[in-house]
Amino acid sequence: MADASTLAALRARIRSLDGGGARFGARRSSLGDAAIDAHLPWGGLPRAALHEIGGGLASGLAAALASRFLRAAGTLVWCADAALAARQGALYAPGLVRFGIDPARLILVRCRRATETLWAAHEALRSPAVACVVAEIEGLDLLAGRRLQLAAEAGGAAGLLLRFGRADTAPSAAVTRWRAVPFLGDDPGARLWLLDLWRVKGGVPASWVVGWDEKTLSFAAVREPADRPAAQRRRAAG
Amino acid sequence: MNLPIDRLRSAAARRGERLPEPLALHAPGARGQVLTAVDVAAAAAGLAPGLRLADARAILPELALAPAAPLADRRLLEGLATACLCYTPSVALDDDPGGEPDSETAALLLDITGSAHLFGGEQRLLDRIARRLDRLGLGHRLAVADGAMAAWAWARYGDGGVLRGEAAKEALARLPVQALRLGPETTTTLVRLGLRRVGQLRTLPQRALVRRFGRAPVLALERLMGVTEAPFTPLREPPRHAAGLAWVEPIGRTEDIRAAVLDLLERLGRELERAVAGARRLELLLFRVDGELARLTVRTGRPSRDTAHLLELFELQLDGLDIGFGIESLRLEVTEAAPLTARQVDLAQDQDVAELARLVDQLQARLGPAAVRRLVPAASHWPEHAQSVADPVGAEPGASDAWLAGQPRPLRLLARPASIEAMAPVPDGPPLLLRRRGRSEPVRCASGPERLEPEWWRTDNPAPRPRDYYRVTDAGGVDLWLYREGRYDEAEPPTWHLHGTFG
Repeated sequence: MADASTLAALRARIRSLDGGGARFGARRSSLGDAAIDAHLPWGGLPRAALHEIGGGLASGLAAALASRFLRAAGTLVWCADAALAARQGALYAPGLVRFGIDPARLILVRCRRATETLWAAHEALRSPAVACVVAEIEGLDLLAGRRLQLAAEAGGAAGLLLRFGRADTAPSAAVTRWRAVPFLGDDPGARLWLLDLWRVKGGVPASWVVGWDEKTLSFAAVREPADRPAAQRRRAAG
Repeated sequence: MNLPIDRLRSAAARRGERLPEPLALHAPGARGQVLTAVDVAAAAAGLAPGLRLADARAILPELALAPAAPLADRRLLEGLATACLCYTPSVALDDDPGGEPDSETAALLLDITGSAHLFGGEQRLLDRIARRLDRLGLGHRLAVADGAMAAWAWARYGDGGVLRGEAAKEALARLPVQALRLGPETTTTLVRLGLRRVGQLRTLPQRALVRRFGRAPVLALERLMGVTEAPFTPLREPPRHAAGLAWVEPIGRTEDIRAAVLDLLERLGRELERAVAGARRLELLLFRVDGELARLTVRTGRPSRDTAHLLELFELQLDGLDIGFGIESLRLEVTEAAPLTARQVDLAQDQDVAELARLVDQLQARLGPAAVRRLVPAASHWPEHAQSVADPVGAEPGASDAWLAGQPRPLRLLARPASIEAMAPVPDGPPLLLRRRGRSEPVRCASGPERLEPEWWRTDNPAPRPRDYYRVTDAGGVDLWLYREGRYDEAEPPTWHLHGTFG
């Protein structure tokens, strides 16, 4: 008969086998909300790991997470290919400032092809001077993802894969996979996000309705996700 | 030596064609078309440059004609000059200073002082250059002499080859006075006076010469005889730090090239260390067997003499390099250097800055310098002009409070605002309906307006109308940055545009 401590030990063992787990434990970044941090197996988002971000508010979530990772020293490197940037719009420094990102700590890398984006992200992740790397991509195969994950582990920088295009449930090397979409609550002016953590190595998926606080530069969960309507759930999945 | 004709002939040969003979090139002159170059067959029939085209046709009706292309000739000559950098860093392109720049008399001057021994002596070097020009299908006359002017004269009017020491004086004296390059008028006068040889001029009293012809003949004589140096203006300033390698057998494998570059970098690194300098810009010249030249340029954000780092930057470019049938020599030059003390290299607190500079170098080496940028604030309230880009390492990053804060600004800005249909119930009010993909959708929430007046003082921004910006949440909850251009009370109705997205 398994008691709580045996279960916990087994979970820890699975986590370490799974590649997620405790090895990131010491180097993590809080998201600013105690409930979300506590839910993550590492007590926060691990640095030196790859995180995947999708959904309609993906750019905002990438900026917000980058801002959290930038609380430590280091540079933010943002890699994008020209075609994607033309479609999505180019990164705008006055908007980044509102996420608490000082453009003086940002280096923009404009690539010609997705393969160059991946290469640039790989090089940046390995550099000890870099705190966080954002790579805008449309698709990513497992091998390329693994390579980025290894680079992140070697260099210690956090890698954020900002994914555009159709949602993809194919396996990924990312340690956590997020989807951020607008939450349509009763108050139209509240600008809430539905944050969906739909895959986490060594943990269980969860979602939260959060607001991004521009003053404290942190997330704050505003409601239990249980009572969100089914339509929202489908939105988050699609 | 007939560069324009040879150029056409070798280009045709590369295409697998043969040019017709006899052949002449023509260009417009003062009195209609005149010939500028003729091939051997045409010359044998009595044609010469300067002849009028109509006369030439009368003499030789089967003459094939092509327009002259002095620019292409000049480019070929410049290409050859660059290719000669593998023999010496100091190469000059010599246009006839006495007259018009003329492909007929143009020459390349190589200062081989101190570099001839690398190729087994002067005669061997000449043979080597001759073989190379033969391969390219270009005619040539080559000479080595004590001075640039003497070498030129000996190549053009003498027998060519190596002419040094006491024998040179006699040989040069036998040359025609044309070798002095005094221009057609003076030369003709000299010949009319019976002064046909350089040696005859030397026997005349200098004073008489100066009185009759000015200083020019005396100066030319001194230069030819090596009494004074002729001005020598190299194609480019020889770099202060450079190293080269040459092989008897061409090399082609990337590993071999890499090892050679490493060797050169180590040599230059020691040189730079002695000079207390670091490289900001390096150029690698790869001389291919087929006479082509491949160039790789590497820039560093901060001066560096770190061999491993610089090698890495070159390696990023070596992969895609076209080396044809192999490389016969390499030359590495530091084309830009800056002071770098040993302390700067080891300073630990500088570590992060150094690491970042290293990363930026790497990214720029592969993606190009313009691909890696930092966003810096610009003094403008107009959204498109509020940010500009700068070099990530060299540029002074702007203070973060220089960014316009307080007002809502989108995370992403469209390079060109997109037209959008919107309906506002009251003039100057926020939009309540958006029309997209043929469907109307209500706006969830809107805030604004923020009125921005155009910067009339800018000449590059012709936007004549003020903009009213709104932050608009659409039915799906996405935050958009819209603006209305113009006002309802104007003759032209206002238009709505999407300029960016928040989040």
